[in-house]
Amino acid sequence: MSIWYLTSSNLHADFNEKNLKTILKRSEDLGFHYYNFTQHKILTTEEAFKSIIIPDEDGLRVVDVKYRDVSVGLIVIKTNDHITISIDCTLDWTKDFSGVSKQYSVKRDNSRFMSLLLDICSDFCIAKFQLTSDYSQPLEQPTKWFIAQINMGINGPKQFGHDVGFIFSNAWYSSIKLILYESEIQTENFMEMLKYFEEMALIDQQINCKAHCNNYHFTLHIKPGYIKILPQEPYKIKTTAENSCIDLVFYLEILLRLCDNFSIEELQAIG
Amino acid sequence: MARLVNQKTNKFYGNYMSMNYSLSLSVQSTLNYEEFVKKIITKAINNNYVFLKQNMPLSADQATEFFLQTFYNEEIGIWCKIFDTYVDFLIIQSKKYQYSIMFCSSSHGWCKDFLHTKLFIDHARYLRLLMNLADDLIIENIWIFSDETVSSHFKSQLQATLTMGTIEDLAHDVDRIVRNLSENAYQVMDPSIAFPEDIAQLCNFIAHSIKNFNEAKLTLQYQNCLFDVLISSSTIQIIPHTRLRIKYINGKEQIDLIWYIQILLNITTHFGIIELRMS
Repeated sequence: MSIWYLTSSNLHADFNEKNLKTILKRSEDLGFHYYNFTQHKILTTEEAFKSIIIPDEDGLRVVDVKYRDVSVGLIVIKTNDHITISIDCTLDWTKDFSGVSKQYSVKRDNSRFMSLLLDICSDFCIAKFQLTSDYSQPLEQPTKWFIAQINMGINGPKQFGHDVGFIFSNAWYSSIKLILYESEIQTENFMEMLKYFEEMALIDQQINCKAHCNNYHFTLHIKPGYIKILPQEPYKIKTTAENSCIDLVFYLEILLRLCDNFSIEELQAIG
Repeated sequence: MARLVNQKTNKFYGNYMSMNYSLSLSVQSTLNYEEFVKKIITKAINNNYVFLKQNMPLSADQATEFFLQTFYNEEIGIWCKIFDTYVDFLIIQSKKYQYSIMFCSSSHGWCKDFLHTKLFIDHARYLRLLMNLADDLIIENIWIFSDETVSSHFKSQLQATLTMGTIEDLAHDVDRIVRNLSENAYQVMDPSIAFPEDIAQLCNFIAHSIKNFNEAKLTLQYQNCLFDVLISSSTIQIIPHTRLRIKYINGKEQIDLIWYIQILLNITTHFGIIELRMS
């Protein structure tokens, strides 16, 4: 069981004053207060900028943040002259996942922190996004995929079938409307589709299917404790003033919505 | 499995999983029940709420129709997915032109790691959503209650009963409250208290007042509005003061109760809310 979790986003953004201030301004607009906990003092954006432009004695560029009911560290790393921004996922935000199975019970709500980081980075293209922990290991070789390790279906086929039902229900309920198609399914009836996938889960212990959302296609692979999205061309593209790249947030939000009922332990997304 | 224990009486209320809770927000509206339901449902769906009937998502019209059916059949609530959690969603007409919007649920969903009780439902997060649905309506009263609600001692105004610790924990609890005042930039109006420069002085003042007079009273200022905060060993009250926070609803001047409730939620953020009432 991991003790700490960190969610990080590598941006297609040069490490410069303009881009760093854009991030700080966006965070402030979301309701962040920059705070010096030693001096009990709220910092201005300019003071927060000074905190991250000059590394502290440990070499870290970090500013403490008060956001709604949590205090987190906003950590900035200079990676090959580009910005990587991270926030630590505190214990404060937790969620009761026992709707799926009591064994999973209450876990840290990492998904909420990841959504928060995506909002902070909304002015830029994201090259890589990940949730890591003290037990993290690389999930796969880099390519274009979105992958999450989650607490689910590890107790046999029956449990997995049950959990797959939740995943496809999430797809169905989601405001990101997923329309699933599979050569063996000739129906768009949700209940029939759900029954088919639950049966497949019982037999094969894995689900492979194609899906699309807003006419962008991807392949979905589900195994016990593991969901992977492989975007298919043509990809959804995000264009900013400086860059144009695969819209990582679009695919990530699909992944997070599918995982609504499960706590996410690891996540990696490469666009 | 977390055990839920009242820190003062040491009464054990069962494990975390057994808890149920309800949040109720009563509002005024000149709309009839059907119009009111449609207005709230449409706003909810626009905010990505998904109303469900036998696992099928409903459109605004279908959800309104379903609400009317359940209302006339005296059933309770519609299962609703809000982002990544589920609640029973109720809209009840309590009297003419007065309605209650409610979230009810068993334990599954958003919770938080608080002082003393550790895991506890994150009522404040649900309440903020509920208030968002009613931000253009005149609010009559608010009530959060749950399995663990034991307090009937209610002094009107805006009061939260909290999962604060025993008297031995008082200094620590007060320290967390005072730090919240500082982090939210609330100003203390007593000129003899050097706040936020001297956190310890304010902590000592509050702890001393609670020990000797059972409660401490502060006058605070935020965004040019004044309000009193009464802190006891288990409750915090907000009393709107002079220079009221006002907003206009349907062209009429109203006290902005949501603004005051948000202050209460900000101040109480490190403690689980056992009960919250306002009228």
